[in-house]
Amino acid sequence: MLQTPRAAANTVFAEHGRVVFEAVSKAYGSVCAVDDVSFDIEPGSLVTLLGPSGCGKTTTLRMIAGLELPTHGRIVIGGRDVSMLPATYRNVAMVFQSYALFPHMSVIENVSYGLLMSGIRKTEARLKAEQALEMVGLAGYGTRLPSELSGGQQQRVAVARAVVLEPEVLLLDEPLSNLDAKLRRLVRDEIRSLQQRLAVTTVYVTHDQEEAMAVSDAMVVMQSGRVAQQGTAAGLYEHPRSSFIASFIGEANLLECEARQSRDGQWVAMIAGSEIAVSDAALLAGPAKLVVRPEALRLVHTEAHDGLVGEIESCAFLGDRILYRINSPIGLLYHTEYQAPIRNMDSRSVGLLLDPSKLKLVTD
Amino acid sequence: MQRALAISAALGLAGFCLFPWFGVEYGLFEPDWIEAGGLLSEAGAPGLLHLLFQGRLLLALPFLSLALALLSAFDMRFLQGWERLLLVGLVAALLAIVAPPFVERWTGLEFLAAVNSSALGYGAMITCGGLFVCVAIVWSKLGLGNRDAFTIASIGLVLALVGMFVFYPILHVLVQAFAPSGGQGSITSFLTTAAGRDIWGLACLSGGRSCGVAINSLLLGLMTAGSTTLFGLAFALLITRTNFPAKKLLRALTVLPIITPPFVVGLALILLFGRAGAVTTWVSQVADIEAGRWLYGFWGVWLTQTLAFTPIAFLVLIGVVEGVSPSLEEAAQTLRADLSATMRTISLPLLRPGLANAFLLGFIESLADFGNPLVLGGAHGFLSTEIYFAVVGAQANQVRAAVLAIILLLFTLGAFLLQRRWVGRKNYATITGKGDNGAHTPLSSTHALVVHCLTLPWLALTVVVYGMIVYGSFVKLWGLDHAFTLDHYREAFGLGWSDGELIWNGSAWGSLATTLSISLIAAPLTAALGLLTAWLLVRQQFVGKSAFEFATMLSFAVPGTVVGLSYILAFNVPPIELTGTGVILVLCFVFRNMPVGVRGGIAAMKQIDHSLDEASLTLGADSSQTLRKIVLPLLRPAIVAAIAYSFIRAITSVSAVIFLVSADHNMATAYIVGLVENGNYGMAIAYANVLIAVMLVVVIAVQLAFGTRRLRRHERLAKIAAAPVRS
Repeated sequence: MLQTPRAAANTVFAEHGRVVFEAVSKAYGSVCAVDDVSFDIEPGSLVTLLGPSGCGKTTTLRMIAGLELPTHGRIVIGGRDVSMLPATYRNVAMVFQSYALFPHMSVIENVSYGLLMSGIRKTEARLKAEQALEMVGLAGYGTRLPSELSGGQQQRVAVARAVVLEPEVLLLDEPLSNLDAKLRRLVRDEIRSLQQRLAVTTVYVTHDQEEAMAVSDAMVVMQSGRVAQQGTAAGLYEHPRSSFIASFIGEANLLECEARQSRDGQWVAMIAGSEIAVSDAALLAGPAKLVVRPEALRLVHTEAHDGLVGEIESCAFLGDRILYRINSPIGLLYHTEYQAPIRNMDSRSVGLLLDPSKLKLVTD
Repeated sequence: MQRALAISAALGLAGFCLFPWFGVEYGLFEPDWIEAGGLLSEAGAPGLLHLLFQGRLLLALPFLSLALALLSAFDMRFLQGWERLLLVGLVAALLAIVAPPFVERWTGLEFLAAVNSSALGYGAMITCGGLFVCVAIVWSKLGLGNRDAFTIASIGLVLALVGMFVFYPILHVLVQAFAPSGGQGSITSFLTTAAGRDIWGLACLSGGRSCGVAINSLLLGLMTAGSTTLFGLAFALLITRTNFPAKKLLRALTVLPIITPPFVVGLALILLFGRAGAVTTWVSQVADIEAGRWLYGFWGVWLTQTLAFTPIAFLVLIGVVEGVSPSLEEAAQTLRADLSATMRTISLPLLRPGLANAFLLGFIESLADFGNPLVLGGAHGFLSTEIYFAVVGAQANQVRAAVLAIILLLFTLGAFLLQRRWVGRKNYATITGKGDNGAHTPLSSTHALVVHCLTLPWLALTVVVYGMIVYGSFVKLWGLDHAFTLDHYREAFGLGWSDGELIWNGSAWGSLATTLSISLIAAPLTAALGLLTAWLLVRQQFVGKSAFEFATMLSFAVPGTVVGLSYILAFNVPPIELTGTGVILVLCFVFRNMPVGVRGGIAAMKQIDHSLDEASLTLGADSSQTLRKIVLPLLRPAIVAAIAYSFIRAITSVSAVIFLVSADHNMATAYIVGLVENGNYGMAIAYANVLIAVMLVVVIAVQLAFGTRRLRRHERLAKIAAAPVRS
């Protein structure tokens, strides 16, 4: 009983850096914020927790940090069950959405805070903190107060404060949300390269799927407290298992249809009397959604086309591309074209060419 | 080795073995005590000797469990698997010390010879402290409730203290009120006293003699609440909705009642409208009417309370009035509402919860007020003064005092519950995070006229009243001899020089020194306990938190008179015997003023982003380190305010302390009330002036020394710029 948890946390395990959730749930009263979530994060990888607001991704991150303790299930970090271990004693560092820099401490005091709390001597802590600041490109800013820094600089201080502890797991809670749009891509790449240089297991929470696809080795997509699907960015894009994933990851038109399997095992989607062959289906026969990604659809002139014909309701010029809104027998389609407009000037009709190898069926 | 556990277990053992277990008559270092045999005398023996030689076997529990805790602190394998038993042992040990004296007192049973009828002393207290911390540490090690030791200890500490010094004393009032008497059962006996005509009589309404005290208090409370709310609203509107020229001065005036002892306004009114008052004499000369005594009674008390409590209503309402979003009013105007229609249909309805809040606060303040009814009430009895007279008067009827106290408590608690249940929820959150660029709509000319008609006379009267307070202290004998004199100050605060030694001639030095020292001790304790409670309420989640919050806030609604009565009933006899000491005064102030610290702390802590605490936790700091290094530095202004405010409230308080002062520990306000009762108005006012001056100096000094926190660039630059000037 009387071994200090901190000492135990510092023991090196072969599993160092692995984060495992085993059927973890977190309830606030009768409200279940996180419901039966399981995943396994490889040491040294960057995993994003992705989902719309209120899906439980931040609660999941806070449970890794130890700021929330699960009501059910097991959390294992580095081979050790830490389910009931509070944040103070976990070897985990977090970058907060608001940065949470201590406003009454200078930058160097902020960065060395965690070192001093772990019992490292002042001079050594200062040296390490200065190295960390240098690493994020803020050498010489140590004596400033957080309020004297720009938003981007504050964010770097927050990152330095976390990585200086050489944590087993680094947690990032929407790290780009307080930066302006132009800075985001830059900081995103910096975070990724720093993470790869340090080879630290990183869990990254965001609601922006593009940001998630750009930085992560793997993604865990959450929806109303549950894991909707997990995998690599390409895997999720190409093999969505639900309409939620299909629409959340990348652009997609979702069309109501009836799924059927022909005798040779080929899946087809029945919409408004027409039968459309698809390449991939993750469901049983019955009501389903047909996923039409932009690359699965081509617009052609009606003259040389005897297939589906739609009517362009509106089109919006967006610089490098044009966004069409097309009414078709199989439903309403949004479509982006990167080429010059192909439609006839005198006709609103357009031929729709679907590529079966890029069409998927998913459950609703 | 577990340092914290080892230290607290060792401390507990030290208390058990080295300090007198029961209360000793003199201090620990007094020669009298050592002469009487010190630790080896029967009275001064430590717990260990009581256990070994007096057969007090229950005391074995604390000794054994502390020893076990100490051993397991040194060798962690010692109790492997048996930690729960240790926890049970420690808790049982605490109970074994604390419970028997209470059981014995309430039942009269001898309890395993665990106690004699002496009060618990230093040894018992230190042992309990050690046990308490050990329980918290072992509890957190076991992972019960997922809290660290500091949080567990804090929750336990606040609960134990509030229970001991707020609820336990009030329990005594209840017991006293329901004490069976004259062959009647407890309920019948209570009802006989409580239903008396002297309490509930309505004779005054039908033009007869005086009403019952409860009716008097109730009427006074409703009227004061109404008038203070009206004036408070008028001032709030005057400041936000008109271009009144001296707004800053007006704001400064609102500080005055805070640093004025409550009955001083009553005193000044006596100098103006009393029998020998300036106005009374002038009117009776000019109009040839006989000098009236109207001030000494219901209307005088009402006038005084209106003057004294309007600023409180103002402080409540100014926030609400400023909080009404200007864009709502502007929207109304674009919808063809004119100025007075906007006020009537938009602003006032939005203000309604704030008005109700101010009304209920005014009601509670009026009922709890003791000084003004005492000074001006005359034959007209009010609940708070009747309680006092029932205890100290010729009748010395504690049962009647307790019954009256219960009635008063029911009134204030009722108002408090109404305020929380009804007003608390109906809060139109008109302050949003979004920038609101509009300007408040000015008052229509009719409304502006009404507001000025209400506020200007009030202001004039207040200026005259405070003028009187200063002037009256330099006048020989008010109403008869208006020659300038310093006699009152000389009599109270005279200094002499004899044989090269300073002599404190003045009669008031003793009480002033007691007041200052007790207030200085109580203020930081109050702030610490209040802020700790606020921290628990804002930052920690635990079972029963809302009940916990309710309990701490409840003490806000207990009138001072009831507190005073409950303390003398509860702490006059063992096991906790405190009457006549300075400690009881300190405790009284700490628990009377704690809710102020809690409220201030909650407000301040809610402004500190929660993620700062969490960042500190994820960086490896535990909750006590986070509190010390992150929360407290950021809370500095709130801490300073809490300390200054509790200091001031301790100095100005009169209702509770008047029960608790003793010859050795007399407080300034109690002393002044004595002067007033003897008709020595000159010296009373002189003393009050000195108190006001002391408080002003303290408030300004504290504000200058610690008032601001430096978080932003311009403040730091200002500091750097100022530095060379100083050097």
